[in-house]
Amino acid sequence: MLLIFASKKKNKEQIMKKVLLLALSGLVLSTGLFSQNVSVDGAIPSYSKKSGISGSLNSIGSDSLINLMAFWSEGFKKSYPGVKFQIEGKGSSTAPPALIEGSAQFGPMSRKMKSSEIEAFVKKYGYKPTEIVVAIDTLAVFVSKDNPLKSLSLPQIDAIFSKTRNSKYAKEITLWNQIGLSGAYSNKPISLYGRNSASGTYGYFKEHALYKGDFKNTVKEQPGSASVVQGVEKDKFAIGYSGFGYKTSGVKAIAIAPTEGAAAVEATYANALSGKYPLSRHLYIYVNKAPGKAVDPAVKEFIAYILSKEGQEIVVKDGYFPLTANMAKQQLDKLK
Amino acid sequence: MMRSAKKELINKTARALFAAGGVSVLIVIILILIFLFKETIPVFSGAEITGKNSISVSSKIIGASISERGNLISYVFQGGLSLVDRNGANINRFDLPEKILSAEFKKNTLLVADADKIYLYDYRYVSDGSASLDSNAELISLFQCPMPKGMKTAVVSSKDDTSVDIIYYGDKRIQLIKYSLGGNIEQVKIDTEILSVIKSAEVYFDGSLIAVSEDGRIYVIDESGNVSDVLKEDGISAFGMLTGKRGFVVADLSGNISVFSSSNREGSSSFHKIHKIESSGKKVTSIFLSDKDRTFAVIYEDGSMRLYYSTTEKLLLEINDINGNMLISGNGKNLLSYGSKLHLYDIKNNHPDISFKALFGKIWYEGYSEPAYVWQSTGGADDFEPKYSLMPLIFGTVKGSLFALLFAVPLALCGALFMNQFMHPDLQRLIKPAVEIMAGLPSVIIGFLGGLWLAPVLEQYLPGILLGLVITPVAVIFAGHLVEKFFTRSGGEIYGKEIFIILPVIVLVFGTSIMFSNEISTVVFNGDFKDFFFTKTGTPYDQRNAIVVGFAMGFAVIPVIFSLAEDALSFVPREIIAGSLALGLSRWQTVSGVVLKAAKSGIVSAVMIGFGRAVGETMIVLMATGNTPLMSLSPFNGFRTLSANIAVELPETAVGSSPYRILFLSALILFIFTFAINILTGFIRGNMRKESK
Repeated sequence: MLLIFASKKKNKEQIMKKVLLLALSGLVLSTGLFSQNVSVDGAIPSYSKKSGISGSLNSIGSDSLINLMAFWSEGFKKSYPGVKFQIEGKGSSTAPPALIEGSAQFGPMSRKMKSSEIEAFVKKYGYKPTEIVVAIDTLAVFVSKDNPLKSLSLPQIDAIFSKTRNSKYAKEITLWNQIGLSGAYSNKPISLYGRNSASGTYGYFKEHALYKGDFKNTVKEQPGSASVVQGVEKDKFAIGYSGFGYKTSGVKAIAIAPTEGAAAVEATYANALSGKYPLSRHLYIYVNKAPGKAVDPAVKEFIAYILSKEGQEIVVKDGYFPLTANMAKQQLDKLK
Repeated sequence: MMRSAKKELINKTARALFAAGGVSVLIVIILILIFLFKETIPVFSGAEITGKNSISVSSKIIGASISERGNLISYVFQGGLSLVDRNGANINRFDLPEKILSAEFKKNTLLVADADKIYLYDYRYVSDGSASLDSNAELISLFQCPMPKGMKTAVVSSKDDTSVDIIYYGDKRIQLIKYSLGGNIEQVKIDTEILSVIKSAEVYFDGSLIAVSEDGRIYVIDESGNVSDVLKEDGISAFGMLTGKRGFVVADLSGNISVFSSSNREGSSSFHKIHKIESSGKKVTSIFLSDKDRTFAVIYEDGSMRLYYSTTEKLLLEINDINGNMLISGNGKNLLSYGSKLHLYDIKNNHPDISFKALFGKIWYEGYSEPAYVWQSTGGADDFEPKYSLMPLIFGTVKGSLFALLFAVPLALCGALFMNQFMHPDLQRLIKPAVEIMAGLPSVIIGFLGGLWLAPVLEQYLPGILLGLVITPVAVIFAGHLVEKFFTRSGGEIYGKEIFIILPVIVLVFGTSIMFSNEISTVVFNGDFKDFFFTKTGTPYDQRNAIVVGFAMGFAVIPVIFSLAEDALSFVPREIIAGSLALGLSRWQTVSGVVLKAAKSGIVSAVMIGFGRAVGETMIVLMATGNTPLMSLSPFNGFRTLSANIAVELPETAVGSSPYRILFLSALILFIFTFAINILTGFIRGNMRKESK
């Protein structure tokens, strides 16, 4: 009805156009947020297609990896339309039983398998499950790019974000001058941004930076990592955490010291790779491979795809750090 | 004749179709309601016993354990350990030392002690690959060592892949020693003398030791071995550490059960009694805790048992004829009592963490310094204490809607009135569809612009915008007066097109006040409004605040209220207006005295429906607020609404879990909310109609 109306009257058409423009500019802005600044190691080879790959592949495990798995499976299916995927993400602890039962070929996990889980696997098969590192997840604490803050210790971060302060940091931190800023920042309240509780990032930050404590009610929970960064960018007095891969030019990631008084470590790709940076973890896919025997070709090709240039580009696109060429090769060799 | 029959047929069909449509809408609504009820009702059911197996054992049981999945039972007797299934059939048997005095299972370990030695084993259940059942167990001897001098009891506190921590206590001394898995002492963490006889001890989450004595003292011994705090109870008969090690349960001599936890106030940590369950008149002999959640079993001296949940203080289950001890399986679905016999109970205890108080009352959570309304449904670890208060969400929903109405109602109603009564018909034909297009704007985009464009702008120009909101209406009234004076009376050419004079005035006044925003800041607020507000009220100014949402959501609500109010005004018969004007009343007198009265019920329902729209709005609040579950009246901080909460949390909650059902409950509350608003609207409307007749 509105359309007919608009075509009849010229000025109404203009209004429509303006509204559409406004809407479009909003959309353009929002898609522009997902720009990245980490690139995949040039030495990782491109994926080369094999022939005769088909079958159905099941994956059961981590919910934080479910997006990655979905992207990988989509990319993989472009080369092999005959392959069917079923991906379930109910948490990392659902992966070991699924692998043991044989109901899934892939067990994506955002943590290492516990010794008890490995033992249960060994009990059934007589050998250990094969652990493949597929990506590096690094959380960064962001402030606006003009903020003079350089580093924080983990207990300070706890005192900023948490109301329970399990790190035993002496005082709650609410103002910027409590962490040594002066000038325009003195006596200004800290504005907090973070992820929503359903995300793995939220859980990881809560466990490692908050020492399992509770977030303050004043942490603004954003439905995506990009909107956390966007919020920090627009809010001069903000501090926020999200995946490092979502960093934009408007924010800067601060260095983090693992304990009070220790040297602060920059959130760089190199420090994440070496494990020095305290808020970084590997993401894994576990597979069942008998020693001396080859795995199912579809399983092998899928892992090869993940560890290829294309697969690691997806890692970057989803906001994680990619593997180095060396690491990727090491992981790939585990299936030989 | 034919034509009228045809008409009749068309009429009948149309009527039937409309009726069918109406009825099916009603049915769908009722079905949704039933579905929401169905999903939420299990939340309020307590625990129940669904099965019981008894296994008779010939030898005296020294210690027992139940597997994670509840289908296997191990018990220790003199010289051995038996593994049986739920029917008592033997699965495995391991040898243990003779003459043992105690055997304690804890997290994949078994610690056996005789008169002067302790024996530590790695003991775990294994599964042959089926996810639902355990099939066997294995016992690996780790080490044995003499009991340290003067010590009477040894308890495993924690074990990882390379080391194990053991607590020893005797009459007046307590030790915490770290061993390698080969049995070498790696570190004596704590070795402290205490004044009373220790009854039981556990390690707290921060590494300190909590030791209780029979005479009612609770000692907190920090990592360097100093007694940092002593609490006094009226005698202690039982003690246990809750999962997560952030709180512990103590029963006093008269049978009262208390839960303690510490919180960090400024500078120091102190302990509080966070829960108290009144005595049932019987003395407590022991307390057994679940590893899965905050459920614990209390055993009384008369052989009865009660199952409680710490956070909600809810009594879940009562069993009368337990003689002995009570274990809770790792998945929380089985209870095992052991004494002279083994009894295995299957229980259904799906939502111990939810009660009316948990949802709507203030609760003192572990680690908090006072009782609070908190929504924090998930944590990084399994031993997290979920916090499910719906109060901040309901508060946020109402706060958001009211702020939206605060902005939308004056604009929409005055706009509708002005357009309908005063505007030139040509302009009317332009404005109405424009407002309708506004309604078609997706709320994601409004929310996006609100959060990322409006919020920073508002932060920068707030004093100017607030001033503009006050002086613009004044300027408009003044401008209207001038129009009246200079144009209308002289020739009436401007009639219905006053807006062309008033609009520049609005732009000019509002623009000027924004331009001088910084100056206003400097003069009135000592430089910065945000600082001024923070120092005066103590609440920080938050960029994503209720005002931003008020504007953004108001933008979505305005078209609803505007269109409905305009319709209501249009239904006022022209004859009444003409009559009123003919009797010599001015235009304004006619509008305020006649038109508004006649359209009153329609206008009220327009506002109410706008309110209903604001209550249910999701995307705008999701994107323009920080979703902070606060309960603060300040217009300059955010909130979290029921609808945004559902959108944020539902995607990753496990089907059938407590948070899942609570989200459905909040959907039900939203539904009832809007339902109530609609009924109220109808009621008010009916009353007003009666009045005006």
